[in-house]
Amino acid sequence: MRMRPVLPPALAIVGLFVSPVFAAAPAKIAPPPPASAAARAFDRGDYPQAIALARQRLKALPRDTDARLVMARAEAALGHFEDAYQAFRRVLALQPRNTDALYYLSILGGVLAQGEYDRLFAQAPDSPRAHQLRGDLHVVQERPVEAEAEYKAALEAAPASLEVLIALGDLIRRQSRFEDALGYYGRAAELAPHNYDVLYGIGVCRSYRQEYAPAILSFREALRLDPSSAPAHLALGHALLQSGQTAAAVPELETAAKLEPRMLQAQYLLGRAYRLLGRTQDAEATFARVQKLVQGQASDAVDAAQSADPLGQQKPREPPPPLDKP
Amino acid sequence: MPLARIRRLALPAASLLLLFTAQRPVPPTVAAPAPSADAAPGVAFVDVTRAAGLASFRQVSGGGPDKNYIIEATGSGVALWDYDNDGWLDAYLVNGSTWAALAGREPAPSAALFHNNRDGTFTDVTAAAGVANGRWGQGVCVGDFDNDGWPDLYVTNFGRNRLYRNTGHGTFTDVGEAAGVAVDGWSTGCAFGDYDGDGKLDLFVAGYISLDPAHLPPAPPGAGAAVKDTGPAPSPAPEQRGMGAAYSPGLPYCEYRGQPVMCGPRGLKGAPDHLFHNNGDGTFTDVSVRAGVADAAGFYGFGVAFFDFDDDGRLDLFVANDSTPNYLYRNQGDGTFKDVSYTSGAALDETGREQAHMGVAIGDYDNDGRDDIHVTNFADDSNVLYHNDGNGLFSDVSYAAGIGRPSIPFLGWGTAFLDYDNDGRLDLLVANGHVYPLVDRFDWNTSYRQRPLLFRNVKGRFVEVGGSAGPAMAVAWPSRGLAVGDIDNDGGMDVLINNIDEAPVLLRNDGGHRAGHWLTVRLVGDPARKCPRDAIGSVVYCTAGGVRMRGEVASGRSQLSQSDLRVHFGLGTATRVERLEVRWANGPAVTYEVPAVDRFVVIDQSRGVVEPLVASPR
Repeated sequence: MRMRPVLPPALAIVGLFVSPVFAAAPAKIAPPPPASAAARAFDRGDYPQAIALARQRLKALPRDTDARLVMARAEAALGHFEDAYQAFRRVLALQPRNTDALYYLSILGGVLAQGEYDRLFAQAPDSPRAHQLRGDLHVVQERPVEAEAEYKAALEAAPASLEVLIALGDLIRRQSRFEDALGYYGRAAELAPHNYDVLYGIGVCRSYRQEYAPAILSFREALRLDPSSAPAHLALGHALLQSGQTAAAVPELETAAKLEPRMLQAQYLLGRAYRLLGRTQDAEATFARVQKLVQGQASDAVDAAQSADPLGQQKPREPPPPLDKP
Repeated sequence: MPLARIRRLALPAASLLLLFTAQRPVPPTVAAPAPSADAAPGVAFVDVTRAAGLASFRQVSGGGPDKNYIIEATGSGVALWDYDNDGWLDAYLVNGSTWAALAGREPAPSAALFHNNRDGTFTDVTAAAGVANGRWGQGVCVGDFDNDGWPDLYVTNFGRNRLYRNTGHGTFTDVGEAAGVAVDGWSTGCAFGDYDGDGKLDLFVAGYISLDPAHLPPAPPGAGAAVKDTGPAPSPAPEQRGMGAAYSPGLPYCEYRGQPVMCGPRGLKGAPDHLFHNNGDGTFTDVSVRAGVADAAGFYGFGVAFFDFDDDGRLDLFVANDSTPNYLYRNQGDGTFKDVSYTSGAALDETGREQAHMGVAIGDYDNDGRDDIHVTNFADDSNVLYHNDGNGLFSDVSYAAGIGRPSIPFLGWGTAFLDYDNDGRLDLLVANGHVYPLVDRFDWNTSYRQRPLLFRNVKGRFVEVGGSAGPAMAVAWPSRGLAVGDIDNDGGMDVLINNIDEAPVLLRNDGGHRAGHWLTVRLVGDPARKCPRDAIGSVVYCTAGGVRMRGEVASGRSQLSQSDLRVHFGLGTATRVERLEVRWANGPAVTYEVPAVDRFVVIDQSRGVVEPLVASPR
């Protein structure tokens, strides 16, 4: 812990008397440049000038977040990522809900992470693990093409990697390339026929191909391995519902909704199932929950600024929807 | 030169060479599919934009190639309507604007009204007609709100909306303010419809986002430089960006596949919807809250459709909401609507997911007598087809019906059901185009410009026929609004698409009128019998060859667009209409005799007659 320096009382008293003398004859100091001057330099692409102007202003007005933001963005534009990072953090220390700082810091975070992964990859360029990790990073960054290339490179180096086969299957399934995904899941199933992820992935692919009978078998098997999986209960319920087995779908959807009460999809499909079975009151109660969930999600998105800790201490979010979008 | 230095240079040079010479895969949004055996033989859409004289129009959205703010990406709608009642469809193209125009620093781009010269060409009559709009235009819908026999025009804007009253002399007067329908903010879809059965058209207007131009969300990094290059007066000024009251750091909502892009709509505050009751004296009253359709949740409204999904004779309301669940409101007949979005199954997709809904098409594609719903969606997701099962229930049949998978790489906007080959089954057309120009820089299996999707209805299942329906169907455009109608009165349904930042495209249907017999019906309602003069909301059932088809007179729909108010039926090989039944809006069903096919007929409710009009095929 750093102690705050304490001014000796005697000196403080001297200061009291001395300061008016200096105040009476101040040195002529040039006013700081306006924040817009730095912003204009930034927009011109003159990043060094933007930094210089912002620094001048910050010298006089250290709490000016606009100037510090421009400085941070200019540092980032010049590739001075560490300086940019520190500057964004300073802005957030002053204004924890500064949307610009949060926005640009998120982008910078991605750039910094990419750099670290590149360093890792440089150390072990032929490692399947390095390719896999880079694939994982691309998945997080929503770069499916790059992720697929990395996973394929990993698979070339380690053709029997169950993890990579599943990752590829999942990635490709999310792009609705169900036939290709089934190919990878099939290879994975040869290695591990009783793997939950493989069975779930196969089930989802079959479901989207309207091959509900094999999908139902896959989901049942997946649930045998992990009975507490809300996504698998949901997916099974969905497949049963789509194949006309509404009564059988209800307990699966009820279980999914019980396991994850805030899972919109489970609630919605459950409401539909109730409605199809003529259980009007149950349906209405369930759809009321759906409406509440949807409105909550919509306002969450808009209110995120008010509830979020800018430095990453956000409350845990709801689990992602279990059925991947086609 | 030292060897080490040569090596250092050699690698980047080789990489660069590879970058510039490597063959990038052509995404399916550009590449035409293989010729389809399922395409209708002898029917082709031909791009006649230039010959028709429509190529002079340029849609403007923001003024530059980049899309840094969401308002720059939504484009504009289009209307095919007969404003002068000469029996020929005219065209109205809504235009966007620029930041400089919005700030009053340069003239605003003009919308355009093109008069149909009846010879395949159009004449720009915008100035004389007084419908330039001059605001950041979004959508358009047509309806004769004052029942004077002349179709009026409602234009939605980012800014105040306009209601152009048709004087009947080729000119229009903006009565939006006086009528009380000049909603401020950001309006998108609109539709006229007589929801309360009093014979006067009411008006529904969807709201998108509460966006303050002075407090915009952050633009993507580098946007400043891009804006700088687009003109002398970029706006908003850099120092004005960010910290908008509407914006919250929903960071994922400003990225696409890891790339920074314009923010929204998620994370931005939604704008309310409005239902205006027609008072019958030239004014309207906003009854949104009382009627239960005000959009209290703040969803992002786009496409709008009045239709009677439960066939109880009352107009219900569907609103396609971007990134949020759709609304389906059932008309309770007492001036209020019941929100049946979730209970009906038309709010979310079959797995219960929200989608980024854009345009909406309504039609009975399987000829079961009930209206189904098609909604376009964002890329990486399928468009959705809700089959009307009856009993107030809809089922998502997108994949089973064949429109799901082909639509995934496409970002859909305008859409319409149309029987382009006159075989008696409604086909489906979708205009596409991405919102992020940067997609062209990546191998993402998609593109900024995208070709339209034409699905032919083959015995109830849709098959994408692409360029097999004419070379124009294989051309990629940055499309938004879409309207369909028979511009040359030859019995084939033509298409007009409004492209963002470009000229529109007029696709003439060549051969459709020969591929099957047809009948087109124009209805004239009787306000004394509580039916609006233009008969909007009326349903026509045409039975031919043993098949009973359904069509209706509809305002709005598609992506902020207006299609032909006449009702077109393809009859296939049937040479006679066995039965033509009109369920007049707010009135009884009446059966009419149709003397022959391959023609236009006018049915006047008050006189109870069918008047044949001879078509004039090319």
